[in-house]
Amino acid sequence: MDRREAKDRALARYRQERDWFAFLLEAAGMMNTPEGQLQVKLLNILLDSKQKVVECVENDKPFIAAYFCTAPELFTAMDLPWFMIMETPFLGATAPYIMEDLQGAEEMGLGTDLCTAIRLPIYYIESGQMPVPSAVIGLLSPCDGTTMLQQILRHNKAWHNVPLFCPDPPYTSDERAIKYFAKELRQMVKFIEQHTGRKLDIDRLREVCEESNRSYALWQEYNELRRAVPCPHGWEIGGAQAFAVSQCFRAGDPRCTDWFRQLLECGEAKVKAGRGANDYVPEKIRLLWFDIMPYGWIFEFMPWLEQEWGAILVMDMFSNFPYTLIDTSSEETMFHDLAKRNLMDVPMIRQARGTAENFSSDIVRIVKDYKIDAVIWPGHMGHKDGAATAGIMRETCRGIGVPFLHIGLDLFDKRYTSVDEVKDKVSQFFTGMGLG
Amino acid sequence: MPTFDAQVSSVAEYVETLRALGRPTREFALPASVDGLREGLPVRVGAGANPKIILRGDTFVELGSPDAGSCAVVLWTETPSLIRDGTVTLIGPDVREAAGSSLPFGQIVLVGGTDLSAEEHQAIGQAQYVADQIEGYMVRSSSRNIWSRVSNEAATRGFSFETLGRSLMLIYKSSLPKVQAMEIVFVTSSRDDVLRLNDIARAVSDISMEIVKEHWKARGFDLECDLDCRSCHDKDVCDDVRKMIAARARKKNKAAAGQA
Amino acid sequence: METTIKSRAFEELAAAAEGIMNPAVQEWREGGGKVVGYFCSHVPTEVLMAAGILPFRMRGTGSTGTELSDAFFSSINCSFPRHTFNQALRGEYDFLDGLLCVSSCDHIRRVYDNWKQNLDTPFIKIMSLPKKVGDPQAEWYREEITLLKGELEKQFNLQISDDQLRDAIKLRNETRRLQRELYDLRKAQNPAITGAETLAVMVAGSAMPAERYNALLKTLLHDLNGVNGTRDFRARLMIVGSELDDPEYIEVIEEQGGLVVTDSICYGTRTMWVDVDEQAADPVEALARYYIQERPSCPRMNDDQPRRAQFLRDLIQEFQVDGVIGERMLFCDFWCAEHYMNKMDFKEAGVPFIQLDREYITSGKGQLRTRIQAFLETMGK
Repeated sequence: MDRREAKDRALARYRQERDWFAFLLEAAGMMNTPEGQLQVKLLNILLDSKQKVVECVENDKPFIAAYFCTAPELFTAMDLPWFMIMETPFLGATAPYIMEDLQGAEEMGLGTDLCTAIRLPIYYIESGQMPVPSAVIGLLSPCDGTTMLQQILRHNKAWHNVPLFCPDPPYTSDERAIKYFAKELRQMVKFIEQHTGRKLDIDRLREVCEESNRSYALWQEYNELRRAVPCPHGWEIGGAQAFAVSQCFRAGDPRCTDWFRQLLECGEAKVKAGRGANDYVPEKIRLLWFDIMPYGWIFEFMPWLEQEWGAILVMDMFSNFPYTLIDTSSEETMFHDLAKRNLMDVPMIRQARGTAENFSSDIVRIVKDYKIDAVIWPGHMGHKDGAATAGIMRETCRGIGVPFLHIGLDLFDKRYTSVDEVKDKVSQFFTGMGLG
Repeated sequence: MPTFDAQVSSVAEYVETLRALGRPTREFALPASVDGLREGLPVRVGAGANPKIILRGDTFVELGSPDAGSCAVVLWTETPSLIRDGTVTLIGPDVREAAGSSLPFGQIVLVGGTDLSAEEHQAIGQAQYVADQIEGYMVRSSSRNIWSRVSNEAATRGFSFETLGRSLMLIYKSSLPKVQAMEIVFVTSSRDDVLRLNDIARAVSDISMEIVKEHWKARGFDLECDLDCRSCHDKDVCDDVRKMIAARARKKNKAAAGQA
Repeated sequence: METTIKSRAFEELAAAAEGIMNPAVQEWREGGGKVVGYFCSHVPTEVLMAAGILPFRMRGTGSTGTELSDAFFSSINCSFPRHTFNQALRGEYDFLDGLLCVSSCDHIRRVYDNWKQNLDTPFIKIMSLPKKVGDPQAEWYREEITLLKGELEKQFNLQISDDQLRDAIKLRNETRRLQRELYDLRKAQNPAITGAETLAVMVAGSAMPAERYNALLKTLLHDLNGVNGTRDFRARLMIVGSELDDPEYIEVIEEQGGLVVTDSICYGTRTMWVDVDEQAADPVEALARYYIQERPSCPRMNDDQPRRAQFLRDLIQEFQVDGVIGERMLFCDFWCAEHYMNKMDFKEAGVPFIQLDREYITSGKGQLRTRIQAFLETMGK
């Protein structure tokens, strides 16, 4: 395969995903609601990001592969296009070709007990279906799988010479840990500068961080709205999109702040009008879904939850974070606070990176503040540390008198536990607990 | 078991320092009893007293935003005499003096009771996040500090820091009967003054971790779950485990008695 | 275990590997000695030794089920922590004065959380283990070791001096040297000791005071000197993987004619192939560098796969290995991906390789035998 062919192959799935989102954009454009308009805005931001990466590949311009929780504000400040290596499972898991790709991932010979969200990108890398960047910023938390993804990436012949840097996340969450991680982020910047030719301008970083602060402040304000009874939004709009906008695409971009502003206005209007998430189904159960949503089969499950049970997803793991301002008064404070945010605040990293207190303290606070009726730990097959925390979560919930359900499923692959099985377990749980 | 007694003294020193620096300081002497605290409250206090969230547009004053600065500390002691029961100290502007502002906010809650122990530690810490229990006052769901709002309506009805202090004392004393004395300090004078509390907060946090560790160790293990035991096929396992725990506890008690 | 080794020293060592408690630990405790359990070979046991504490590596040996730990772990958790924690809940680890973990893997780090909540062990700590092997990471671990030292001093009311640390390092290095001598015997055409027997000896090294162990190992080496080793095997194998502490697993392999002559496992070469620098001015720094940078790593350490691969190639050459068995416990992400890469590397190098997934407690022996037989057949042996 010559270089041109290899590039085309590497871009094939990426373009296909871009086109899938273009299709979703068309569909969202037909939704004549404020929420529909939010989806349109989000998809436009997403498509813009994707198109920039495609152009970089086609024109041999620098771009990187990275992750959320690796201080994406720095990438924005350096005006560096980037894509998230795990983009497909997190964003594109409903795409029509996913089953084929999951099958391909299985046939690769990696254990089927490795998280699907890790296996899928490995499959794309190994089969040459992921754009090869100028450099990679790797992720080493929250789980064992992410560490191995970086190692397989380095082992792959096509990626072997792609420079790779992984900021090392300490296990503790004190000032010493923050300072250490801040140093790792500084090393990361040097690495990016060396391998992309882009330079970090501190004044520009300040602008980006201030914009990011504005976005996050609006997000935090929006999260307060979800405490209202009834909750103004359910699964369709909220944490997943907010997370994508703030972390995955152009963090610290005014378009992101604009999106949050609109989200907030939309939410406030509904709260003032006393409107719930679903105009046709009254809110009966306020749920904490304590993980990311089941992106692989979301459309088959989430609407059912609302319509069948009046169960509104008031809060989920990706929506919840403690808002930490980035102090932009100096270079040092910015790196310090970026380290703190990316080590301790970012959803999922926040809970799963460190000790189990992070799980239990979040549950207690969310249940209280959001008037949660039931906590569901989906039990994704890739969340091994979470699986070993199930007992602690159960006991925490028992201590605060809220029902707890641990399911056992694959958030990305409905073949692991069928959607019907999940519905059945949830139904039995609600019935058994006298909910709905 | 570690205690917070040294930090209780640190709080008193902190207040005196700010007073000496000329910060406007006011003290309110509140009743000790639950009924006394409830009398004269301009707002409702109790579960569900503030059912609605306070929107931006309805906010009279914002307290403790990350921009303005926030620090919240809760300490408890088995020596109630260390605490001036019923005293609320305010250093800085009151609510009515800060319309439309975003004030820095320090909140120090001191709790005393001769029967207080590690058992109550977490409940004491959690109670400061009042959720919907104070009408016209909302603590935002941001886990590491107290970031809150007073609504326009509550301010119109005379909501002040004395009201807040009274409400907190009412909540604590009614939900935690072992609490015999309470003292609260609010700081709104400046961001620097509030952030000065971080030294005390750090020491409290370290001690808290020790208490939590010891408390979990002492709890043993509990297999209670939400299912109905009569229909649960794991009941035998639970029963065996409980017997085992009981046997081990008896063995330990015997050993401890033998040593004593 | 069945053995042809005629050695009282070996008998004592093998017995120590067969259960959790053993006479040496019993004696230690009766003499007033403290015991601290630990998970993972990244734990700097020298610090415990310097404190006069016996480090005891945690195992689930003898476990017959996980019915107690299943309330805390789930079916997608590795069976090693499930069985080990189950043993602890049954009281088998009541003799511990402390538990020391590192943030090694998703499963083991939750042993710390669950243990903390449910068991009454006086001292329990988890150290933050870096995920890379660079200088900043060695420095971080140096600080972690310093913090550990301080906490041990406070908990056990003692002082740990640099000299005590140096003595502990020397003692532990002596163990490593003696273990390497044992492994040297396996380079022979007809090794005097099998893989199963070796594993028993290695496991025993983590379950008794170092002085006692070193004495026994010296005696064993003496007893093995000049012994005509086994000829009854078809191929020389290397076993690569993680937490394998059950000699019976290797016995099953060796019964089929595959003699395990070397390894890269958590109880094997990775724990003893190199020594801690005894000449370093700062023993704490020496320990940090050893545990992060110098010893052969496992896939937990992110940026070290090429060095690990080279280590395996060197072992293959040194021990004249005919084929490699990659074992991993189900739900282990680290070794799932590592063997995925190993398989490709070995294929390219023309080294026969087979991956075997297993549970912690050796089971499915029939299936294991069949797979080994098939593997040996494909090797043409």
